[in-house]
Amino acid sequence: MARKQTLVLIVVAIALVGTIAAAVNRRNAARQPVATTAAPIPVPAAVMDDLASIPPAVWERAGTTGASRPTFVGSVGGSGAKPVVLYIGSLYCPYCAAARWSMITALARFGSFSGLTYSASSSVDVYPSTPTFSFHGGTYASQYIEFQSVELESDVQLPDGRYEPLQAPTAEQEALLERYDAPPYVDKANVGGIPFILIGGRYMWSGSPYSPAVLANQTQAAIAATLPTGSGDAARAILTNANQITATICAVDGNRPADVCAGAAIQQAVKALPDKAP
Amino acid sequence: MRRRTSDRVRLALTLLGLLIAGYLTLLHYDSSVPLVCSGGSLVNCETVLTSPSAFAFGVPVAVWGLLWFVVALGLALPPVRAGARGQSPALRAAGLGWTLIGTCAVLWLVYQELGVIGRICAWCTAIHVLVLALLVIQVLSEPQRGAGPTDHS
Repeated sequence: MARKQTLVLIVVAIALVGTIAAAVNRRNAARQPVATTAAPIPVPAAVMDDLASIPPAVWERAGTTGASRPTFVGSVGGSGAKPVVLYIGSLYCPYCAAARWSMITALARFGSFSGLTYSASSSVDVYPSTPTFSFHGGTYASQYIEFQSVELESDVQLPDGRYEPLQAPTAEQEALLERYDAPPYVDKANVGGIPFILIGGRYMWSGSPYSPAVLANQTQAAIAATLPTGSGDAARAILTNANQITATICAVDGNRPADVCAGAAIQQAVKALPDKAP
Repeated sequence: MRRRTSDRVRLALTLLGLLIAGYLTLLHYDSSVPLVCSGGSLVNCETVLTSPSAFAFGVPVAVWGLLWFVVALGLALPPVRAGARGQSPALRAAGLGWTLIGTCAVLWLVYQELGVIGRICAWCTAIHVLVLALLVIQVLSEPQRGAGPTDHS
């Protein structure tokens, strides 16, 4: 082999080994535990306004075409006076990140949130760092429904690959998850999938309502700013699925409040809701 | 390596790379195409292919890969067709230069997978190996200074 050829191959080999070494070194440095976890950033009032101030005309235009349909699980009933909206997810989960956008915009039509913080899905899972919010530490008040949220795990990955536990479900919530996030309501391959959303003990979603890809590479504020006009792929995905959630809530809370539930798009979606368990 | 043999191997590897890059491009644009790949904690194509590193200048890296192999095919075909007549020095230099560009891209992608994403895409790795193999073949089949025709087949 000529000297020049040998030299080229040696340079390429050194570059390859150097690249791998630098990459492994960077990865190991990123895995070092941080001394303190950064404090969650509260969602600014202007962003909360965008989430909760979507005009009726925009909701009507969004409709429910293409939205993820719920599964009818029967009439479970509840012990409380108000229908329960149960959400179980995790902060690392990109599908939960997508679902929270629709949950928040839908629930803001029936009450108000406070104490929500910014969050993002895991940076090393699929759809990495999907921008979203965290229900952990937040509160919700409504005269029509009761909202229960459980963020099972955080977005902080432990050395063994699992995520840091955050909130434990109550025995009742765990029983609902085990009963309805399983066949015949979901495929065998998706048993226990999150996000798990159960509305009024009657309608259930398991898994992502839409692709988190539409939220990629944007900030929460930028996405929220598109909601009052309903423009863009992210706003369309969020609002159509929020309308679907809204319809299920209207179906279980006696169509209250009227200004939300009497809309044509919601009434049409209520009529189209499934009424038979799989 | 004998020149005609190396030219044919180069063409075969380029065609294989073209097929894989085409499959990865399809995955980006058609959600009905199944992703045949492990979903484990180390080898996980979905994590890599949906990460921000899977895009360069707003275009999926798979598309850049496909374009690279299309050009590489254009450079690999003439020597096979020319047979014993040999390859022009300009085309040979272009082929080597193009493969060096591809090698630089491979180094960047390997760094992204191992250092940034922390996951490996098996299909992407197959393409990386093909590009490096193409470089080795082209370097080894470079005529040595003062040597005569290298085709002995």
